[in-house]
Amino acid sequence: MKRSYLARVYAYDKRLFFFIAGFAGLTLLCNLAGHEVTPFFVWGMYSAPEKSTDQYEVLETRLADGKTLDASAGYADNTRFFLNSPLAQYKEMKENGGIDVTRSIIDARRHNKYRWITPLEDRIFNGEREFQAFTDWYARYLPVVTGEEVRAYAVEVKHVHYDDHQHIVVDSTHLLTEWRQH
Amino acid sequence: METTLIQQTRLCRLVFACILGSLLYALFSHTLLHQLQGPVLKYPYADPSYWVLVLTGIPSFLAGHYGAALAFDVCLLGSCVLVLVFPERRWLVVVFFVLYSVYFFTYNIYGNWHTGSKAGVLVAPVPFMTRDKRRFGMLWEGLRYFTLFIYTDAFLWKLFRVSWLHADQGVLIVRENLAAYLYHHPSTLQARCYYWFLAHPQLVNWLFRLGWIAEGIFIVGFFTRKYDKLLLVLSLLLPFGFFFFADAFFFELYVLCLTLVDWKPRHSDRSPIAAVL
Repeated sequence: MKRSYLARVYAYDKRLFFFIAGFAGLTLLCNLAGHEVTPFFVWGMYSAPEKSTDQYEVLETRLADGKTLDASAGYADNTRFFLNSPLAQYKEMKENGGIDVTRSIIDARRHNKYRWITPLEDRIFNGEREFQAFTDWYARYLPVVTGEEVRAYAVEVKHVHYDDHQHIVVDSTHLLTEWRQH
Repeated sequence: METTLIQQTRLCRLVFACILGSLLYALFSHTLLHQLQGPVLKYPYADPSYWVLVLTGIPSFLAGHYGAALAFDVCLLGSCVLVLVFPERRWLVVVFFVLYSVYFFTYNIYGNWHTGSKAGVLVAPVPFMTRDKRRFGMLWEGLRYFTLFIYTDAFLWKLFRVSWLHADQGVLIVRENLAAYLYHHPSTLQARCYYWFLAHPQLVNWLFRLGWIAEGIFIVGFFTRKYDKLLLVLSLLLPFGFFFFADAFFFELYVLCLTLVDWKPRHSDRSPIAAVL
């Protein structure tokens, strides 16, 4: 009978066997626990049933000259990642009273496995300083991406829905943040 | 997989050419560390590995010091190029792996999302850290299992969370992820395609299930290599499916597709790739 992969590795190099088996074992353990500890990846994206909703949110960045930054297309995926994702995190933090959302999640679970992290929290998660500094950083990153000087910008949250023809209809808009050159 | 040193060298060059492509893409899309303009909001989330790295202060130091970040990026790109030139020097691969690990974590910390797209580039250099051809063959085979695991794991998560039975899973994913694009670009050809698909939600939901079944087919790869060509085609197609549904293109995972190619020596090893490498 043909020997299995791990049996062949064990026969040839025991240290390599423990490296590979350890990596595989810890990856399986993380997946069973549903908790990713890099590099023991959990590939569970979009596996949770999506919640049915009629309301979606779109973030729109308006520049001083009336132009709109379109982070949904026209830029490389990596660029769009850095234009959208930190902004979404800022929005979540603002809606959470300026408190890092992960911190709130950890606080909610503190009674059990996360108690030991308490003394290190201020060093690991975002605080007031990072929250306040975000708009300045976004103002520094926008010109690099657009290639144009940015003197001011405003970020709006559009509450939208899909109509019967699947077109986007804006229901309401509110200002998330604005920034002007000092 | 039995390999010769020449094959190992050629594979090393091929893998690192792909990695260099990924790094140049990052350079031209303003996402190398020195181009990030000192990002501030971090996202270690609930991953202890990220916590440890944040506590070392390395990501914040690189993010906050332009000169250090520039030197880091030069070393990262330089080590990748040097591996291409001197693939037999294993220590260069180790140096690259360490530098890329720092880049991987810092990118995700300040990108504010733990994206898996760069995981392929993170693990792909591992087999090339050894000079021993049998150990290399075993690690390369292990990398193939890792590739199979990515898709199998995605299949199993959807299976056990029963999202494949959720009536509107596919169409809800598209609606969530494409709202911004359809808001900004209501009249493009791509938008019209999405309108058509959204008007036929059952088709979108079945496409989602088709993708899920395609992920499940990777389980076969754990038992036989006979269907690796099929798995190779599927591993090339699935990121496009993810792009359609989630508006994110995980092209960096393509480097792992190389593990599904049959690299056994031919009688006449003068293929165009061999000639170039």
